[in-house]
Amino acid sequence: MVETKQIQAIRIPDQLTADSQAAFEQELKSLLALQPATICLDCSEIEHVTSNHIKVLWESRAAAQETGATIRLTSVAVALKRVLEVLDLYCLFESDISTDEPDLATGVMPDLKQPSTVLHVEFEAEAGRINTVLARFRDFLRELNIPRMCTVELETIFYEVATNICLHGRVNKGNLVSLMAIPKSDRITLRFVDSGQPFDPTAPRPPFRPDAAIHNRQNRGLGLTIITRMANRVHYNRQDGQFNVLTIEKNWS
Amino acid sequence: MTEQQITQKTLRDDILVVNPGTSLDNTNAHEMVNLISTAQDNGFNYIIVDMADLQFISSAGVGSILGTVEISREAGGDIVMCNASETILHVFEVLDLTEYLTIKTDNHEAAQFCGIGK
Repeated sequence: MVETKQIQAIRIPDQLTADSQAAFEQELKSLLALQPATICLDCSEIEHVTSNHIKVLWESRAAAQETGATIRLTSVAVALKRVLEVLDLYCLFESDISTDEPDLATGVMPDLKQPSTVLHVEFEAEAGRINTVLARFRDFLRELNIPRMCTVELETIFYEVATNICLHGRVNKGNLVSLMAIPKSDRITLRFVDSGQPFDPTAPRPPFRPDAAIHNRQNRGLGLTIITRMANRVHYNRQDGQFNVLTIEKNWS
Repeated sequence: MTEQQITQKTLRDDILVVNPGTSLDNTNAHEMVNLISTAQDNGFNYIIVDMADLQFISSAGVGSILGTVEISREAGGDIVMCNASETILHVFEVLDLTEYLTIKTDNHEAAQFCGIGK
């Protein structure tokens, strides 16, 4: 298992003093020295966007570009997103699906103060690796102290997605599968990236019918049903014509 | 979920009790299917799957039961699950399978279903 070498994560502090900014820049420099493909800038702590935040984002992007790394913003709050959009900067950053948008049904903003610890693991696309990563994922979930049934569902979702990729994804030998787990106060986002054949698990398919499945002695194809039923949201896109990016959101409240 | 050793014991000449261990997933689902199929071929119309130790079941594990249960039913028997934990039952519930599969609380109820002690 190769761990967090291709993607590194760093959190931007809300209060950017001269000291905290210097500490951030030093940490960023250290991470860039590891030559990751991507640096994730965790924006979850930014409550009041200042010009210093924009400066830090801009300079981080420039520093990353010098080493060939990509900057990806995670946990982008609506306020930060809007400022970046006004400045025509938002499109210059990769950004994960924002989990900080207000709930469209209730208009309620989620709790942005909850610290988020990101798990990122990369592993070879071999079935024999799955259980090792699952054990790591399970430890991570345990630390989050989320409801037990939700943990079981997340483990199952992970197992089914990883199995699909490793057994059916036709990923070239030696290529890695990336799992990123980003918890928030009331939910977690799992992001799987693999370089296998294009496969959209959200594509329309006939609904699962238990009686027909029994009658037809169906022993395969249950994984997608489990994933979509256990998750609250599943999103797929093919990135750059080479990567499957599957994003799964699971609530626990 | 390391590779699991599935165990079995004969309860009656037509009832076999199978224990898949702590996990029923890709690592042992094939073995489970082979074991059940062989038992069905050998006249075990009832297969009791004792899930007392089972902590994790994947779609492959569910499929190992789903794909074989009809054969037992056509022979006048069934595949009967018992001692499933709340989390294992939840996977079957998510798939809406609980009303289509025979799930009993414990070994005693499962054996009763198979005609023992009636």
